[in-house]
Amino acid sequence: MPLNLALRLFALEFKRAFAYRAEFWIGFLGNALSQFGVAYCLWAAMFAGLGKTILQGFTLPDMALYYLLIPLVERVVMGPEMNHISSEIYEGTLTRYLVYPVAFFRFKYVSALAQSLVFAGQMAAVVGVFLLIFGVPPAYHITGSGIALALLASAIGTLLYFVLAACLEMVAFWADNVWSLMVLNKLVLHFLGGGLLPLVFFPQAMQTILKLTPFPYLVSFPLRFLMGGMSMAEMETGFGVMAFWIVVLSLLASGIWRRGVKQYAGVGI
Amino acid sequence: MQAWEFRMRYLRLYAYFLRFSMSRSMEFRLDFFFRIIMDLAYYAVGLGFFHILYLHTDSLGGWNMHQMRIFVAGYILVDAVHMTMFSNNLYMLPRFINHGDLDYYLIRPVSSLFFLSLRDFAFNSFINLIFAGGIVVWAVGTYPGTLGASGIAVFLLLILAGALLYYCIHLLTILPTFWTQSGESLHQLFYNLSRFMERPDRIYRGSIRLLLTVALPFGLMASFPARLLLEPFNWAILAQLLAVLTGFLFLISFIWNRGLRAYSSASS
Repeated sequence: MPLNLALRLFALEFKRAFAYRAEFWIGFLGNALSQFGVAYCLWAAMFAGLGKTILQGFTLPDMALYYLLIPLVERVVMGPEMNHISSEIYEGTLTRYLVYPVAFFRFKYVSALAQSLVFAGQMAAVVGVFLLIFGVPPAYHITGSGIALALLASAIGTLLYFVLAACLEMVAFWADNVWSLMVLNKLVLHFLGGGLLPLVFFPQAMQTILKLTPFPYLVSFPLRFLMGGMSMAEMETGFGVMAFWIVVLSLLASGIWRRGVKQYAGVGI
Repeated sequence: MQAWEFRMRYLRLYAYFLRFSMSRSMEFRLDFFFRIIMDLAYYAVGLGFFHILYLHTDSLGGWNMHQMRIFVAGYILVDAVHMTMFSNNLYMLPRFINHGDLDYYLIRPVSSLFFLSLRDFAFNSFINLIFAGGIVVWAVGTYPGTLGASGIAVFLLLILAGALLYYCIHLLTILPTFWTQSGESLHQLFYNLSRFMERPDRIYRGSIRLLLTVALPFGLMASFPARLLLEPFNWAILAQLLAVLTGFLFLISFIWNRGLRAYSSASS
């Protein structure tokens, strides 16, 4: 895609994101703070009930920052918007992309990336405020290289999520509604990715299996770079598994697209 | 006699709603099954979350794992009742208000709030309501202690009261649409805040506890019925749940009537 077109798309998405500022901030803060609030109350009760200060390597402040970062990372990697491909199919507006001189998926991915960049800005603001008020909790070792690797993992995560979501959204070529399928996807990702509770709390066998799936890499993997203690082998395995799933899901998406477009009538419903 | 006829009229109307909803739900067959799977996954995540948590503790919020399962079954039931009876209707309400489509319902010779809250019965969610009932049976059946039949009956009745309270709060986040024309962010806020229902009320302390048991009573909906079933009966808990529910019913009725006065019918 030409750079000037990509930049225009970025500008367009920035304008869209800030068009309804109140909704933008209420949606963001409502999700992040409620998730954080519920988790903080739960873990405070858990630590107090057990009379311990460390659980699976986490102190309560570590846990607090983890649950503050999780919804932010999810927002950057997955974006808030669902149905951005299926709605084009249902409304028949996919037709215009078929005649555009740019590939449909590249166009959509650049839009998604622009949204992610806006959310990354929000994330930086919230984390900055937290660190200014509470300082850096003990389990975190925030370094320049850690931040760079976390950003890299998030950026690759956006691509992984995009191809995964595209495969599911293109079910819209055959099904009447895929909204529930997308909600299901986010629900499973949130739980198996470590969004509801850190993966170190899962049984060991389950952790081993999950490391081979895309789930942790879309939710908690970027955070591990900020927490330190990740070996080079773990890092290589992580990025390797991400690359594997991106290739597999891209091939799958390409196959679904080829068959789906033949099915597409372009009239909308 | 008049009151009896009045009730029968509403029951007949609800029977019509069921019939139309049944035919409508089968229009999108694949989506029908996707929604069932989606809700089942939600139930599995709720149960799985606490199962993993109890690998690291014996007690949380004063409850052991078996007691927590009954609480989880309770909030799953609250959600299933809401999804079956109210959720689709409340989802459409802001659009009706914004597009001026409310007129059609206001001229009917029945309560407009009744009509708009219950006209669409989600049959796919009804299947999940049956599964949710199965989870309650499983949680109660595997409970190692003794739970009396009357206690279980009170629990189920209060879970229904919790579902009604859940509906009231959901509606309260939609009603500002009469004045603001865009209720999306508040609607989203409701779903975010509903997470507080999914944890036992005793984990909330201080002012957060006051907020979640009075002003935004997510802490009451499933926790209080479970406490009345699992612990010695406490009239104060029952009284608080019923008082808050009554207060919210009056509040939505008041705001609904004020909203209708502000409704201009013109689309935007």
